[in-house]
Amino acid sequence: MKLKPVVLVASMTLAIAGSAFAHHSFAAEFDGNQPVRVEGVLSNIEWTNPHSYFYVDVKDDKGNVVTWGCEGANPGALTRRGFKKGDAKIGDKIVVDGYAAKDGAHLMDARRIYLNGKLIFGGTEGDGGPGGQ
Amino acid sequence: MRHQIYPRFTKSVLLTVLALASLRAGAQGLTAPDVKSSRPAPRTSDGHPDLSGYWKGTRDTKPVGNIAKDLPGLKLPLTPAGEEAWKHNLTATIDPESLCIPGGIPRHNASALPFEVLQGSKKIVFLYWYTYFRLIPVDAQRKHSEDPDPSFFGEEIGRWEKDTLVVDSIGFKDTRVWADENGSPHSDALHVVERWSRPDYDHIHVETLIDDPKFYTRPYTYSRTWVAGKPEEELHEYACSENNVDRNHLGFGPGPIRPDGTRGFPTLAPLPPPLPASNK
Repeated sequence: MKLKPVVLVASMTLAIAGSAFAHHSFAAEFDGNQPVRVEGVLSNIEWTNPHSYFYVDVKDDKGNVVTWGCEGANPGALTRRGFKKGDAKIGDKIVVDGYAAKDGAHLMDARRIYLNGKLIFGGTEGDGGPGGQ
Repeated sequence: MRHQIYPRFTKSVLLTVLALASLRAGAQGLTAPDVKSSRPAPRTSDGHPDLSGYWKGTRDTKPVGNIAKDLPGLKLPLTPAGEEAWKHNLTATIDPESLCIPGGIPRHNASALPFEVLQGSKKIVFLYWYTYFRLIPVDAQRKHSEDPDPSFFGEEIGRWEKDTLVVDSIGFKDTRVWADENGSPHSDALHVVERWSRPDYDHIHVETLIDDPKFYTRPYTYSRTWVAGKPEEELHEYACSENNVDRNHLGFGPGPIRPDGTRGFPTLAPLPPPLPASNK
């Protein structure tokens, strides 16, 4: 299945922004003042509830690899928006924008996900992200 | 390949994103715009209004997840013990629902999540997003137990008063429970009386009386109206504990609570600039 590219960045930003529903309060776990971008290789996908996870192997300047967990919406929400599990492949180049966990873990709330240069869905309504209640 | 922390952007950019995000979120699946309805409520064969349906919150319900919604200044009438319990929830407990513990009542009535009702003549079931349910006996002759086992939804008994389903509940948990997403407390002395009605085909309404003399100086109410979902909409499996990575990273309490009674950071740093490739 091919990825569904998007036309307007703005509309995608809106699509992935959170809303009133949350399995957990965004602010209880993530730092809204610590936006982060990770770039690397997709090493694993967990297509699970209450959230999906995209794991990104990030290599630093010395060649050390750190794996970031990028939290997305639950599978049902992603599917409703046209993104299927099979749309991403292990080894894909991936860039994720989001907000880092407060506790310093390599964990982030994914707001935008780029796979092989194309923007796909990340978080969605219901994941308790920015803009939500 | 790298990761990078980004600085704050301008407040105007932030507000624009938030405003647009809010609009977009409302257009999606979990909530629905309110509608005017001239269609009468359906009735069951025994003559009662049929509350069955898939019900979605509207954008008019603000703040969502806050049982103080209808109180002046969003101020709960807490007793000193209630104040202490709320402080404890905010500073020493992780949101039980984020740990996949049932939200119970009154929390589910304030939730932003859709729910589904299936109505029978002697029982009515409320099905919730997290695959939780309430099975409420409808029996005007039934009395509460003398010492019911504490539960998250309480010991519930339903009865009809004309076109209103009254659900009377006692026997609630007193620990590992928040009364709403903001961490408001309730005790095991909680007594909830819900009055459910279907004013027309497209709406379901509840008046929730919250009476908890341990934690609140007086009873108060929480009112809410939901709109009917589309015919093809229904609940699906949602296994909250399947892969709850969050449980090891969540802090105590809901995080900051804004002056409007919602949860979240008062200000938010924008994301990094979108990649040019996203426009292709």
